[in-house]
Amino acid sequence: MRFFRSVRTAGAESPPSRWISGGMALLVLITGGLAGCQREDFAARCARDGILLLGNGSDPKALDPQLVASVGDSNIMRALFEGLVSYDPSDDTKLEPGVAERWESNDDKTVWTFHLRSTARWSNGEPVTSRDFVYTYQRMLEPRLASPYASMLYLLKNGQAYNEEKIRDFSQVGVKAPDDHTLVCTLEIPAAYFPQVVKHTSWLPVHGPTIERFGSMTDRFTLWQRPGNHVSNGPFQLKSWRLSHSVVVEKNPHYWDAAKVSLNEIRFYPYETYTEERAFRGHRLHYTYTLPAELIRKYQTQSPELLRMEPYYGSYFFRVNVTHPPLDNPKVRRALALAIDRKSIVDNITQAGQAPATGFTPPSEGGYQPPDLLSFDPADARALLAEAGYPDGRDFPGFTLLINTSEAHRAIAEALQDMWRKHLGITSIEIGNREWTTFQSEVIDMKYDVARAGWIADYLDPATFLDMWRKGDSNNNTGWSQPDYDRLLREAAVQPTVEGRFAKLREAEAILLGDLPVLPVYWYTRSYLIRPEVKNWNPLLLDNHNYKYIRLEP
Amino acid sequence: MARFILSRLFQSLVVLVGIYTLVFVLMKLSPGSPFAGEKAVPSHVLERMRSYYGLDQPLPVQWWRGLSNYLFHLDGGIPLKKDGFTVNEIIAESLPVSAVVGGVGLLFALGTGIPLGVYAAARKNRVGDYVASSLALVGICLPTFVIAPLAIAWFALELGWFAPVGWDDPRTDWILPSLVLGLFYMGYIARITRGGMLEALNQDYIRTALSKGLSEGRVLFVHALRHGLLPLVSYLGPATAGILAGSFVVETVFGLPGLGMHTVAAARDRDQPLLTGAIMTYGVLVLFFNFLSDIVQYWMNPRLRAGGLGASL
Repeated sequence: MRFFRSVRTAGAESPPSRWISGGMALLVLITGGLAGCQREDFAARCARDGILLLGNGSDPKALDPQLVASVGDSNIMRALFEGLVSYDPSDDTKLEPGVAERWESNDDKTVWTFHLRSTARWSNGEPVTSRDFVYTYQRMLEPRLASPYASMLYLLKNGQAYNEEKIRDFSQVGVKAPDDHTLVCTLEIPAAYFPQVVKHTSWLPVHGPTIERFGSMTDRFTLWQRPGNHVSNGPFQLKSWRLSHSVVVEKNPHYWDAAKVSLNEIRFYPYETYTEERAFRGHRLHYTYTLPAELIRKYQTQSPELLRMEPYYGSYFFRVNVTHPPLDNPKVRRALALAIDRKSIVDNITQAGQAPATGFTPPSEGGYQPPDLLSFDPADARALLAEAGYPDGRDFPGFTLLINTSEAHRAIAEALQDMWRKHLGITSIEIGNREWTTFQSEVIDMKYDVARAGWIADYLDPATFLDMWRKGDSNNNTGWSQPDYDRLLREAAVQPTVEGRFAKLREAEAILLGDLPVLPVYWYTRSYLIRPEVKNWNPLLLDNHNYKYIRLEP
Repeated sequence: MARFILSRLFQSLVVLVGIYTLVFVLMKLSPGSPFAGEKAVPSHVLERMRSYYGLDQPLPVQWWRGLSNYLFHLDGGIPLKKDGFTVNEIIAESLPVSAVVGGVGLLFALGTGIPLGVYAAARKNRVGDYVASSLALVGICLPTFVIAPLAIAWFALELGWFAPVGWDDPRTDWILPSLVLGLFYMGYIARITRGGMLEALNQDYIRTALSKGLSEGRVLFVHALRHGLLPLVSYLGPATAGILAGSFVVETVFGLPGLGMHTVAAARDRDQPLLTGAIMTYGVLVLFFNFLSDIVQYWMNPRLRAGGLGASL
């Protein structure tokens, strides 16, 4: 730009000054050229080299699919490993063949047979066989490994029993390899959604001989996770891992579909919120893991092309301890729920396009729709509270609204406090604030009245939202249970059709929303920044992107 | 001298055992479990995890097991929240980063703080003093979490001189975090130097030196400075340890893989082995630099020297 301006002025002037201007133009050309080189920022240069720079929120806990638990960790796992079924690049509900070319089930959806492709390879060149999967699932369920996500495999027949050491013989668990390329999974309950479940990180295979080379099957801590030792079967293999710095993965030449993999390398950075946003602004990232809510408005006005806000399969709600009076009274809980102006919360506080929750399970396009039972109805709420014996909030015993320390949660808690004061006349609600670890133990030990909660789905099925409210489920933590609810869930599982199953689940969810051991607030969205070079990064409800299909176009 | 060092070593050992025990007790008293997550882990799995890490043992056994590993093997064990690295590895990888940033920051702080303090003392209660002292105060009062993002916004994002985050380019990535970290210490160092110098300049021997006709510069930098820096030296013992062990704020804002970040994360996650390792490292640094500062004080202060090391310290 500067260069053109110099040339134009040069043309209009007398010879000596033209000479000077010409020289200056040359200078500008040279410096401009240099600046031009510098102007290609780091992210653009990496885009040219096929290196994708991703913000990932935090350090991975491990690079072992059987030991990780967080969303960020599973993002790395998905690059390194490939499961039986993989992720479609643009539609969560679709099933993309992974190591398994095809699969089928028996009529009542309890026995699933996966046919593994003969071309699947580990990053050391060895073939991926069905025995690898059997080994992996045994390792996952091995009590001594103490995998935090072992319960995902309780779907397998006797999986829970083996994990709880009620049986010792793994051959009784419902996973078999009749030959190298056939895997048969026998399930505890009928599960039509089983292929969706096996996409999850906890079902990814590991290479047994590598694990055993550096320790035993049940060692949590061995050197197999190090670069050079690590063996994986996904589109990428481990290149380097530096704590609090980055995890770098590079294209796996042995991957069966390597021709389709466009990226040469992916770098995962653990930067936190604001640091991450600055890194993005400074051209060090192609994509941010999150975007702080208060920066959303800024990007909306200044550079909307970089900002994305997409529905995310998660629910933001409050757990209610139904063993603590006055919250043991369903009318009180209903009054509290009806007095929450959810629309005002998402419009004025969270501001990232979240949907006000009218049920508990988020709706999914073409999938399950929750019953539409929650609305903002202050008049009904007041009437219910009066029926419960507290007209206009008089004599209402106080309770504490427990949150984990965070500005965002505090803002929502204060909004609830204010709404309950305004619409119900309740003035005795306090906000209790704990740091994360303490907060979690108080919720698990049920030492709370009403506590904030968030639930992000593991797989695309309402079961991941509804199963936790069964009696005795370790995520229930509300003291609530309802025999009818548990019965409907059991009945739903054996329904032959998807519609029939969803109808039962809707009935169950209606019970949940009638009794309200939870106060749903909104359904999540994800807000993040992404550079235009990144192609084929599509909105996905579970946000599980298949890196095989991601391209960079400089 | 040998006796002095030996007795110091023994004292240090006792202090370190004390530190270890204190961290142990505090972690056992703090609420929350390192294995709790948003999604519940079945109780039998939790039980297994606890036994894997030896957390099911009686407390005295746990206490001794960790301590003896430190005493006899210099081994910090394995962290509870990171399955890929040992505590020793994490510290070995992160301490150098913190040390580089801290070391350069400290040099910057000394290089600017001491002249600023000397200047302020020499211009006592005049405009120069007010300007220098205000500068120092600004350095102290502006929190790092304000300065750091501002510095990044201007020098990295606006001017493009540095990368806004990360630890990739060994030529430039240490500069900005070092300066930001040093700015805070610069203020303190200037104030302490000013105080020490003012006291030194009041001494009789300074008046004598001046009356004998020595130049003001010579009196200031040769005779007074040595005395005037004594308070600074005793401050620098613990301060150096603190600055080298890493700053959580600077490391978080600049996205550096340093020790300060691990320390805070370990406390937050109830990761006892990692926290113990980080605090023990910090303890060793404090003890070492205190020792060093004692030696330097002895060397700088003729009165201490006359009494002999053992007697004076």
